[in-house]
Amino acid sequence: MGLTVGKKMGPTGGKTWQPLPRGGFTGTDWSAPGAINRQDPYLAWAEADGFAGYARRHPGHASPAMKWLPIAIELAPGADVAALVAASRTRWLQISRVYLSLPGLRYCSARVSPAFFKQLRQRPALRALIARFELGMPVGQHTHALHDPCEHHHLDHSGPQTPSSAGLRGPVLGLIDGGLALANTAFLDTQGAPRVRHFWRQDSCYGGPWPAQNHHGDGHVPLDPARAGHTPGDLGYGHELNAAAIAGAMHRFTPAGGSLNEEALYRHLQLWDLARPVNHGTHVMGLASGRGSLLRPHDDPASHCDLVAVQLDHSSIRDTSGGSLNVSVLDGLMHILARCHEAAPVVVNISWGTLAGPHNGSSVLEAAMDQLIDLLGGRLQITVPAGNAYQSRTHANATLAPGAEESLHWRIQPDDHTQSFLEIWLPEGADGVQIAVTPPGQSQPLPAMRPGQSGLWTGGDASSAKAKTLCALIYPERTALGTQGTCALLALAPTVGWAASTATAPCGVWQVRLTNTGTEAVTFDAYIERDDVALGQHTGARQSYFEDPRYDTSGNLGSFVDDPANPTPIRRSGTFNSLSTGQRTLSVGGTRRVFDPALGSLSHFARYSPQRPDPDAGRAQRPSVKKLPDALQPSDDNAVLWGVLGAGTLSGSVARLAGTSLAAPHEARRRINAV
Amino acid sequence: MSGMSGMSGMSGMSGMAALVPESLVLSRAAIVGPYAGATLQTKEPPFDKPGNLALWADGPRITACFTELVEGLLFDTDAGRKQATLAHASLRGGRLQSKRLVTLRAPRKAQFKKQAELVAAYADLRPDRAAEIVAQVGFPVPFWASVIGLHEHRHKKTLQLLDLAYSLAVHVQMRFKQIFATPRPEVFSPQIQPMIPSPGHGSWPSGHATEAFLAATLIEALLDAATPGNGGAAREQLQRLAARIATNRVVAGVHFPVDSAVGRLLGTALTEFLVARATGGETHERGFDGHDYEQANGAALDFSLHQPLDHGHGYSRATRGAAVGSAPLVAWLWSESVKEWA
Repeated sequence: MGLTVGKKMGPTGGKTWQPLPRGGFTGTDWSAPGAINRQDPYLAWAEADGFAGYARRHPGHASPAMKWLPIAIELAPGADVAALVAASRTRWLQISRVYLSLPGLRYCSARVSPAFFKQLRQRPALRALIARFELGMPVGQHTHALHDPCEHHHLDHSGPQTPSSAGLRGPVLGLIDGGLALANTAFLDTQGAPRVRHFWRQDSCYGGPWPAQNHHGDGHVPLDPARAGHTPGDLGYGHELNAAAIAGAMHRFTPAGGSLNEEALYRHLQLWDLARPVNHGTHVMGLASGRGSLLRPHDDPASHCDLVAVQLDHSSIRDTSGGSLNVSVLDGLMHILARCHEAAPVVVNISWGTLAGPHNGSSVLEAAMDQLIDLLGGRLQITVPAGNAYQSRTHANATLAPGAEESLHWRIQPDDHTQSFLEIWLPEGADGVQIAVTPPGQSQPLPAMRPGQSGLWTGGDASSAKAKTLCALIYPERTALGTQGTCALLALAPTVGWAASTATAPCGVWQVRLTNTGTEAVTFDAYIERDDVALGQHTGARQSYFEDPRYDTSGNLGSFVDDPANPTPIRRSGTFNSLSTGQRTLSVGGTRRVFDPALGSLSHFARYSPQRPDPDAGRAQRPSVKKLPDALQPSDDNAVLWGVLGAGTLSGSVARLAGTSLAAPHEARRRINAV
Repeated sequence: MSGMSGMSGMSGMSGMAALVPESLVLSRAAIVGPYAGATLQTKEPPFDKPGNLALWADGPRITACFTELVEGLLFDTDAGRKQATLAHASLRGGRLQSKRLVTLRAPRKAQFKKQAELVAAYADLRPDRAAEIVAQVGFPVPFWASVIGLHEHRHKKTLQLLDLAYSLAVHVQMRFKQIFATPRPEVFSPQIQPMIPSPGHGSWPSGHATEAFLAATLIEALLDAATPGNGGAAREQLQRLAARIATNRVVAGVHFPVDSAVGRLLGTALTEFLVARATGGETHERGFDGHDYEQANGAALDFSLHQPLDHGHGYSRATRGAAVGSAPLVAWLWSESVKEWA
């Protein structure tokens, strides 16, 4: 079944679903039978609302037409990147050359043009190579073609594209983050030379506060390669600085007999994030590899090791829903590995995360990280935070007996300038679950959907020419987002927008009713995607959440973990960073540094962190779901002083930041020291 | 801590203080002329009528009601059982007969010691609740006002009724605190370190818990009297707020959870007494035996609204009710308050 449900109900079209359109970029007829199966529902949604969630609005500047879409690809078993390159043309599929450096790798990012989708429809051989792909699009500027991508002639070379025999011998600490203050003394060696041996920034245009560097004020001024560094050939985008370039720039801004003018240096390097006194990436990198403070100096291997730092694209940082992390993190990992010797031990910390996803390690990025670790025979370790949303009511879990139903109340906040997403994950064989959605203010649910169905809701304006896409439910039989079972995506427009043309969905409670019409019990998980505002950003995002009177919000003792006897489907347990549920990566939960052992877990855990042991361990779960952190490290000092002290942007400055983002680098440090 | 002073700022003649008496002297001398006798028609208020309360300023009105309300209250103690009883005797009529309202027995010292561990655990919540704790040091009227839409300009008598009830609670709980004389948590451990000064009176029962549950039940009764069903509809929020206020004192480190448990009982019983006096109804004796407020294995029991108030964990309630006589002044204030919610 691939048909949209419902039929027109006269002039009051707000009571039914409309079919998904034919995609303007991909050419896919998303409402054709089976069209949504094994696809990324976020791509279908983006084409349904004209990529509204990605548009960068600059009054007076029309956005140029989109030419390339970034995607993250999983290749079919037995295929590798070389095979895909051989079967494609750079006119419509571009892959960074770095992906040829690891034979057998079944994952890569790519940039694809509309012709790619045509090829995919027409050529079964190409389809057979690609197991699945996810959209990995940044919310900012459109993606451009790669410089010097993989061509057929690159395949003729016998060796890998990046001479890894010449790379860093390790141990190397890799960081993928934002706001990396590479000249902070925390990251200089005892002679004052930079320990950051390679720094790759993924952005390409200037978007900072210094007017002289932003002539048009539209954020479209390309970075200056003489300052930000040249585009690395094996990655094909962004700008890279090596230690010599960093040292040269540092020298230039160090007056004779004086000390380095860090602010002038960062301004010269066009690193505008570093104009702020506190930056996430600097804090994280300091915890993983800094030399400590005068009070608590570090002299461990981690405080001397080589560093390779990747600064995420600015739009990846803004978009807390993590829409482009699959591509940008995978590219970042490949960059770090390409700069290291083929035998170098490498620990990479990725203090980043999102909330929605399969949570069994089967997202493309998680599966790719697992395969990378496997391919490198254990010399690569990756630490990832377990997540900070334990109290944020973004996860529901329940088991539906045959004939049973469960209603979720999804509270969408007013004044939310960004889209909201709810993913409902179902295990293999759960094809009898129907999903019915009742928007706020509607007395009747929209027609219930079964697997294979999809539709758009346009509110009361369905029959008018001004109809806007406010909501989509995309419920395929299989999904590209994970490999077990399926996922139904409920996507909503923002609830407010500055422009009159912005489609806005009603705020309030969206009721989502799941009914099991099958003959077997079904355990489902529902995850609300992250939708908050990252440190230093101003996106107008507002996190949605579930509501249920049975859920304990009292804030009393014992109310910060799930009570197994409480029947509410909203569960803290199972709320987990969806980047850190892989089998090989290390998820790190947060604890308090100082606690009272007599009070046990009550005073041991940072409240926002997943806990170990699981207070809700007896609850039925989908197969392979990861709920427990692999390691625990401090992320709060104590009950009052949430967060831990770490490096501010400028040398010697100290800042307190809280979150499992700060637990993960502690574990990375421990791993580097154990190498 | 006096309830009588709670309503300052409600006087309509607050400009008087600023007036210089000399100016009145000058003004009168200029305009008065020869005295012409008592020429105004004067209506003398009736003798001993509750309605005369409408004539008085707020403080005197509440004081008058208060003396009537506490008339006949007496405390009795049993030194052997370390038990204390609050009773009421109608002082009118021939035979004096007292009726027990509340019987209390405090937990043992060993139980308080175990409860101290809960107090230490609750300190974890101080960063969450510091703002509330500080805002609730006095009578937390704005919190109740927020739940039911209580406003100074249109609920004057309700605020005075609440003030009267707080006065009753303060006087009764101070007597019980004096009788039981239980130490504060800081006496049991140097690690409690309360975030506000421990008040200069005993710990058990908790005055804040008593007043909070008194306010919750009084407001519920008032709303129900004005519009049947409204009290019940507000009950959950009122009870949750009372429990929150009570527990905040534990979080602050100045009370044990069992102080909240007995305060819940005492506040509820005092509202029942006040409403019975105002409406001529009956009350049922309530009891709390602190010896039984512990888990089955003897571990400290935490305060919870889920514990039944009528039985179990030391709570008890008599099945037979008893009349406590009417109080016309209190009845007048009650009926005027009910009108504000009709």
